[in-house]
Amino acid sequence: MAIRRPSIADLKRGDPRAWRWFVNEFGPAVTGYAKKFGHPDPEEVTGSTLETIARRIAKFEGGHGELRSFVFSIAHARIVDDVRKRSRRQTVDIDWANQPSAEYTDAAIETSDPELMAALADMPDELKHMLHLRYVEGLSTKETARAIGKSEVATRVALSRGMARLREAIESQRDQSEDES
Amino acid sequence: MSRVSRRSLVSRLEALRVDEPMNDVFADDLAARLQSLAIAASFEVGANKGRLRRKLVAAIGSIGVVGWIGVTGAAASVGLATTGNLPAPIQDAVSSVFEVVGIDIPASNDEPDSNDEPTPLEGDGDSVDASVPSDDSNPEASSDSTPESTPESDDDIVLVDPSVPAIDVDEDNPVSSSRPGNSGSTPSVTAPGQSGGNGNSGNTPAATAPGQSGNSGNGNSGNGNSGNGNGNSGTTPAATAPGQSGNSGNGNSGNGNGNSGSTPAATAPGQSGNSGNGDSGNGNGNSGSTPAATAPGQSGNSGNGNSGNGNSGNGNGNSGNGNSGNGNSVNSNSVSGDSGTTPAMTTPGQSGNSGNGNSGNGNSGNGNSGNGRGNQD
Repeated sequence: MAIRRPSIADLKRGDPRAWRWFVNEFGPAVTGYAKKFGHPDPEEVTGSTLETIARRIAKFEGGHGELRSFVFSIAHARIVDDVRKRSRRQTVDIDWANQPSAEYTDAAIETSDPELMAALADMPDELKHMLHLRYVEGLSTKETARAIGKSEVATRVALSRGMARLREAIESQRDQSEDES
Repeated sequence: MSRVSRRSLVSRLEALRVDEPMNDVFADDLAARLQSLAIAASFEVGANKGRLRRKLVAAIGSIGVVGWIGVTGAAASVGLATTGNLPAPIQDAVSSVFEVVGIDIPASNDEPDSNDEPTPLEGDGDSVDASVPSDDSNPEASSDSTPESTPESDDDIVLVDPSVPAIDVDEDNPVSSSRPGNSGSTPSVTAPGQSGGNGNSGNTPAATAPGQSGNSGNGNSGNGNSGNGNGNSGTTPAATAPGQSGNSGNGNSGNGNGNSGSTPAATAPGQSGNSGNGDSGNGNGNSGSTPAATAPGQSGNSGNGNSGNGNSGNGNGNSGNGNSGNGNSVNSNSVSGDSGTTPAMTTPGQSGNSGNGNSGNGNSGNGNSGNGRGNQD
């Protein structure tokens, strides 16, 4: 049963229905986001992210757009932190952050668009996060920038370059497959 | 080579969205937990607002209290520094600091300035109505404001003409000292050579015997404040016999203005119609009005600038009358500061001034001298 979207004031007031809507709206999205980026415990990321939102909702100022970017910014920070913590236990190259995420590549195998996921796998993590939040989760450029912690201009430029790079990667893959065939 | 459009790429990215289904039980528990956290957070925010308000009020109050303490302390310190009552090191430090900004604060080793304006004494210039004679023959007792004591010197020097028989001074009514500036009441009867009391403004001597001193208003001498004494002149001596001293208003030693009394009606030879013997020190011994007629050897002097003090040169003695050897000759009397003791007896040609207070050293150089005015009657 679909729940009517409550106001931010309802959330601040602690309305049960509002918080049930909040869980249904952002829970699966945050879980899928964490899973896409290879977090080993996506549900844990979802729970901690939504709890953080609940603790800070009293001081929150803005509308639903800001709330959405607020949720994904917390989820993004949590995912990045957890991934970095895991990476510190391993011996990695110093430019690890710019290397493609193996987990994302593994997850892409299960999707119905292996070509796109393979192209995404070759991209740096920060750019992948931007593309994911902007086009997969549907955040605006401004909300994406807020979630990532970049300026809106920098985010817009990065998204443009990322899309061009993604397109080149896909075309390159197609050219290779044609040559092979 | 196949081209990939941007639109197709965006739609393919959007298709990647996979919402992970959540367990309903897990979702309900999570929603309940989030609700509780939100309510708790709202309470915490309200509490923080009240806490911040209280902290703000407390901070402002603290600033106010500290400010008042600081201002009070600074004012007290400045006051103590101005009066030189701080401990020596602190006084020196404060003095040096204030000197930078041009404020003169005495250092610990500074002497007090003797040129400071004196504080007027009570009773200055009080005079008693000359028309009302006092019932009390004692000039001291007749004055309500007669001071208890004035330093008297045992070294009083009295010049007496040996050719004139001395007149005994009333021992019962010794002329004691009087407070500077206090107007004395009228000495009803004074023995020759008596002093009508220091600083008492003379009212009209009722009757004065030859050689008597009808002086009143002898400014004080020797008193620290003698300069402040108003040597108010007495009223006109009605008639003075030869050798009499019609003096009134012997100005004060120090800076006192010994304004003369009114015109002596007539003075016989040897009489001293002096009034307003400006006294030692800087006193302006303003003369009285012109003696009507003076015989040779008479002293119609008024405003005899006095005696031998360092400051006597400053006294406006307003002499210029033929002070032929008269008035205040030798400024008899008194050593430093003592009010004019009365020359016991004066012969004609003598100075009838008894009780020329203040000859000599009276208070010259005292810090407070200089304010006295001998008001003319």
